[in-house]
Amino acid sequence: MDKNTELKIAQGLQQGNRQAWLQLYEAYAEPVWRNISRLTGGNSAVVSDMVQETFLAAARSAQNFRPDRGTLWVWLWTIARRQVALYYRKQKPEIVLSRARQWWTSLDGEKFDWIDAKADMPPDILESQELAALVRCTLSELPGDYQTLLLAKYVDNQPAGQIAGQMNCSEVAVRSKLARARKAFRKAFKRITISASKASEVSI
Amino acid sequence: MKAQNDKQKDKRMSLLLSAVDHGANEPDRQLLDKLKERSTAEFLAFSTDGNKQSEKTIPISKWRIIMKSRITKLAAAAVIIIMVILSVTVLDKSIPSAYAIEQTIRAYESLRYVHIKDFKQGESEPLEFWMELDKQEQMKRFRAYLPAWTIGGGPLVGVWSEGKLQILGKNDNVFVTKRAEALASEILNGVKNFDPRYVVRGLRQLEAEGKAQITTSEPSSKSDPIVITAKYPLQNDNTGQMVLFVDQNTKLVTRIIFNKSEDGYQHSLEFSDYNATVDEKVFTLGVTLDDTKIFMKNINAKLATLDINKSKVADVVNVLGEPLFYRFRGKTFQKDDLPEAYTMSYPGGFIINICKNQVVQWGCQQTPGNEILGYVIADSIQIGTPLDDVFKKLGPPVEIVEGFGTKDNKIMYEDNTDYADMNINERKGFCFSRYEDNGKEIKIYLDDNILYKGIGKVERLCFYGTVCNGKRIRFSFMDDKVIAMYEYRTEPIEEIE
Repeated sequence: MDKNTELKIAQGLQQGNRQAWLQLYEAYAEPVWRNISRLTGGNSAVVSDMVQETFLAAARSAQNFRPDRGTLWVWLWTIARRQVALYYRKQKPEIVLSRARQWWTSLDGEKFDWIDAKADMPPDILESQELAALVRCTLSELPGDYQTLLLAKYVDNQPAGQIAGQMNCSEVAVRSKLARARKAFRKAFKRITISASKASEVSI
Repeated sequence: MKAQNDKQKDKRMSLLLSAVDHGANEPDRQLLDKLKERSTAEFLAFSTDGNKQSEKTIPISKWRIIMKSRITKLAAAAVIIIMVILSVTVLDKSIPSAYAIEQTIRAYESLRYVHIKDFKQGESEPLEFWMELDKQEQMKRFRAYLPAWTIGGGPLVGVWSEGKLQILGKNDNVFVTKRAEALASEILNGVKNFDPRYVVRGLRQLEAEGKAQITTSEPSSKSDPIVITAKYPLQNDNTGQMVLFVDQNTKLVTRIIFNKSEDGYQHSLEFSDYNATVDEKVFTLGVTLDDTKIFMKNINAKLATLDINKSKVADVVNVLGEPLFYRFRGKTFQKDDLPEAYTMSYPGGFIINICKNQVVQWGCQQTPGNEILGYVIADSIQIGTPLDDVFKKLGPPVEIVEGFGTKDNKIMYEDNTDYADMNINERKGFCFSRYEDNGKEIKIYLDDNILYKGIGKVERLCFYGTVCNGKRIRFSFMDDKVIAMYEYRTEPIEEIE
């Protein structure tokens, strides 16, 4: 979404303009759905609940949206992210995670190199549900802008220019932030999996 | 070379992160279309009408949440029943002119309070629901009693008031408190899906199709109710029959009999206490003797599973459930917005003091009129135990100090430092705290094994602390009887990074 459209929608929202809301909804309903689904594992009832809560909450506070504080996407994702965090807090998916951690511990191979993207991860591991659970858990712990960046760049394969527009910053800033996001992701992933290894040692 | 390497790294990163797409589902267009309408209505309602929630928007998610909860399911069901009554009576066209259906509708418009009982065929105990509405027809408070047949296991009592839902298991010692701010309005807003106009339209359609039959009989005697009988199809292709009894004087429904409900059983619903004076006790939990008794049952065994020096708030909640209140200095806090130090208040005067997410002490205070015993220290000491018996059990004090506020009293520390900031790691004894007239809090640290009498200028008040079975304990006495007793940690509070 270009800056002018974004600004028009923002003004429309402040004025209670129906069309502005519809434009916002059309632009972001599906991306919000996809990202929530990715972070929570795809139970459609859960995802639809969270998407609805996100947009209803957004509808209630849209009048107070301030473009100087961030883009529409950043604002929306902040609301959605709260739903995701709430989900993790309520569901406590510890059993799934614990299983995934054990699975990770049991794997042979240069696991650090896989996470650092220095070596190829075997396809069967890439396809596994356990890896998906660990990646989801890791992403859910990252700040919202890191989540957005990583998903946009590496899952949606969006070019840096498009991401820059969505986040209202330069392409250089996107690249720089992406580097930090990758680093944060790797650190979080390692922390999760290393603590799993330690737990495993103790239990043995 | 570097660029190629970066590209490969990006590809690997992409493969790794794309793992989140496994199992993720594509947007449900149908649901998103519905949500578009709802969210637009919500947006317009909030844009034009301040912060009021749009009555037109009833998200499916709300219903899902409501229906997930047994308590809210009951609440929703009860209100739906009222709406169904309205719709059926509106539908009926054969009622004699003496009975104007608008009278019943008007009667329900001023509904403020009602008590509903649901008697199920073959069950002796009814399911009960009490509901209070405010002048804006919003749910103010409700109480629900769910006998065992509704839920399996032991019966449950739930109350909702001021955004908080409390659920108490009568036999299983289950006590749950949770914030549910929007619960009641969600129920009521959800119920508006059953607006009589829409329900009537549907029923008329059924009647036109010959699927519903409605007959009415209005007895000449005013003391007898108007009887409305409706036959309608059930989802499983069976026919159900509903008989409504309407009070001729008030035009309110007093009873409904479902000869065959969706669950295959006959249900008889009784409606009473319409707009009666509200008994405050109905909408509270934790203040009745029964409820306190349940909480106190096995409390010692439960506490034995907690290590006072290591337990965190989550451990406490796991064992004892959510408290009635989180409080500090007379102020109540929400669970998600707690200060560093606070008190978790449970039924029967049982409290747990928390500092930096760790237990500082737990114990019990006398609650006049609600004195259910259960919490015991040193095998036999409980609220009401005479001072002499305490010393027989624990051994006599090494010294008795009378009065308050002099150096001889061995006051270790005194200032108005916040509880959260006090240096608990340097404490020698236990802490006594009181407020001066100017609101200033005074904290006094006292030595073990010394009986302090007349503390705080109250002659009949005594304090005593000691160590028993490796645990630090302390007592407050009034008129030589225990009125409060606590166990407290022996190890320092850990600093949170």
